[in-house]
Amino acid sequence: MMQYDGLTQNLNLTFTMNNGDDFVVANVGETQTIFAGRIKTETFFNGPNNIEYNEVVDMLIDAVNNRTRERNYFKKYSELLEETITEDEFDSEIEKNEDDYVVGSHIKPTPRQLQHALKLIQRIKDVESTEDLSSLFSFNTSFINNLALK
Amino acid sequence: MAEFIALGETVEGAASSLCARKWEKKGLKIHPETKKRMLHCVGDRNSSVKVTKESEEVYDQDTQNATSHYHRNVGDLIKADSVDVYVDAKRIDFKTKEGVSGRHGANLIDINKHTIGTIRVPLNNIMHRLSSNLTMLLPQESNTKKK
Repeated sequence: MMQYDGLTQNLNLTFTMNNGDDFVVANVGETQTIFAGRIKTETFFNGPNNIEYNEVVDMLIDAVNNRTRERNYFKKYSELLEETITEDEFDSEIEKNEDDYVVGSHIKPTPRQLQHALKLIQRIKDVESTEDLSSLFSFNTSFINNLALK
Repeated sequence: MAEFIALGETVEGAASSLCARKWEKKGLKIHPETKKRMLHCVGDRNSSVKVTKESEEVYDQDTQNATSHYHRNVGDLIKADSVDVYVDAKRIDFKTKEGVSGRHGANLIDINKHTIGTIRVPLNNIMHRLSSNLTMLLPQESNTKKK
């Protein structure tokens, strides 16, 4: 039992993280957590500078951009169907701004990235196959299929 | 000429015949093995892709190695619940072949463009295997980092 700020709480878990320069020890209670530690001043003011955290953020940004590319393609395609633009205009727009419309598949994910991806897709809509997973994060499908089917 | 039903099996042709209950366009994507910009579509329920004309694509050595498992003979067929199809086009109009629509709701479409069809690998089925294969790889990765 520990008392602080007039509140009494049962402490049921002690958490320790030692990540090189950063060190945190915490007592995690049911409703509140008490922690103490050491962190770089730069990190304290500018946010976390953790490799894994940055990797996940990069992956999520890739995912948003890839969904945007798909959306851009279908927006342009609907303009074509509505005859707002011609077939030639549609083709030339895609040729000129390929990065706005075409989803890449150039990333050969590291096991760590793939592990992050498998966690993230549990909360992302419409990811049902290895191809969907690849399209979302620009992963190379063949690499994932080889790993999944071996 | 053969029929393939295993997950991940792939056929490639200069022209193909596609069949599925429903076809869904997914947008433009760089094909992971040929590195070509192609239109990605998904066939849902009772899907199949049959090569009707042999592929005329010329690939460099790396791509040849990466695609060595493709089936390219006329008549080669993949059959599955769901297939991924890549068509060498920026857009495509799926026009159902006459007389076929209505029979079990199937949509049969002939494509006269370079097509690559792959049996879709559902995540639900392979999640466990993927996770355990990853677990085997992860310690190796952290050891490499330490070095």
